Amino acid sequence: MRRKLISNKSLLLIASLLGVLITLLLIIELTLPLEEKIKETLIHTTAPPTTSKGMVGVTTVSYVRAYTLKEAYDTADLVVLGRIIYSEHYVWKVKRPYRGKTLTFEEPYIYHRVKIIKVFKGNPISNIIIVAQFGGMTSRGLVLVPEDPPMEEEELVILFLCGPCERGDFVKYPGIEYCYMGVFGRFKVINDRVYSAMYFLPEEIGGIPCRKAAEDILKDLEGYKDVNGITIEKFLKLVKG
Amino acid sequence: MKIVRIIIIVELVCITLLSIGLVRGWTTIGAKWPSPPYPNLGYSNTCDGTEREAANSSLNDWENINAVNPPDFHPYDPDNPNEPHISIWDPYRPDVRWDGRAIIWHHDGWIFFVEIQINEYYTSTYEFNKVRSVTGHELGHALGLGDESASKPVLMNKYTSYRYDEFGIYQPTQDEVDGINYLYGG
Repeated sequence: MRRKLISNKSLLLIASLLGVLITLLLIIELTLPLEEKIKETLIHTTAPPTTSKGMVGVTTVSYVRAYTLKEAYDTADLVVLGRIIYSEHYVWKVKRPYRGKTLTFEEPYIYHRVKIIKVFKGNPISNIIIVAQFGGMTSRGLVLVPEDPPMEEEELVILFLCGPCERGDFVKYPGIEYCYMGVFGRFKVINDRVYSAMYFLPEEIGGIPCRKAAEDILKDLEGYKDVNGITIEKFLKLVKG
Repeated sequence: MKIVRIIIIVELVCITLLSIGLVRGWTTIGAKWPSPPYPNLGYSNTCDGTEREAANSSLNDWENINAVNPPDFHPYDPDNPNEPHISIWDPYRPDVRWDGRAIIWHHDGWIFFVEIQINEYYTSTYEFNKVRSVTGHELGHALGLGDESASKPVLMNKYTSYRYDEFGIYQPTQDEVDGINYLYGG
């Protein structure tokens, strides 16, 4: 005689539970606002641009790879605690031939002078170094990488750096200019406490959400979530694994 | 009790469909092209070599998606500098951690110019379809689609190491088609 694996009572119970689950899913589907489901990730269309030129060019990037906090530290040639003492804004103008005419592109950069306070890894070429950051003002308006908006003078930072860069289309100071790892290698120190970009970036610049952009990238990568007001010693323990 | 079994199967199908609806992947950047010019978008491709070919293939890929109103690209006319368009070029940039990027210039939710860069420093070491996965991804941004997380096998996955190396994606998927249908479908 064949034995029933699941009794009729159990089947009825399963059917009822699934019915409840469907009802719940239907309620969520119907009540969730369309905007939330669609997740318009970058631009708040309601907020007006606040730059002097009135326009913000949002930069979306395709990263070669993702870095956990430890991987970012391991990849860096130089890791320092330093203060940004001066930020030089510069716009490269690049001309490209096109159908008998010339197209001109503007590439904004900020070359920060960073006074080194402490070295955690590597050997800097001097006690004030140049760190290149993409972004800034062009004739069209502000070019902004939401997860990596411009660092500011007087900011106390921990940076994961590579280089110095010898060559590249936008290397202004070959051999003495460091590049950094963007959102993966930029930390702010406030009152001796370290914060990753998902915590210290402004909510938005010119209507573009910055902190959320950083959070979307870093939240699933090991380590960054923990860098929320920790001491420098604890930070170093964390990055060294 | 046969009827109860049938009900359970139907319920399981409903749950699967509803769950797919709730976890759909595509996002938008919150701006899109006005119509006109969409779907007729101008482009200039001043890349060299593989990057040039890859960008052309991606333009073709996007034109041929199975969407209600797919884009239709034509070469940008430099004598008409005010024409909204997409520019693609390929600098050599060892100083950054990205292989492609798009600057989207928009106003009041409408895109009027997009500048795409394909970073030759990285792409010169890529096989053709990997470059195509970068050009296709950036063109997705140029059309108004946002980034997706590392775990999703879609063209708008933010990381080339996942998008191509792990998932082998270099052309728009149904997820991107759904996004284009939302933006321009009706």
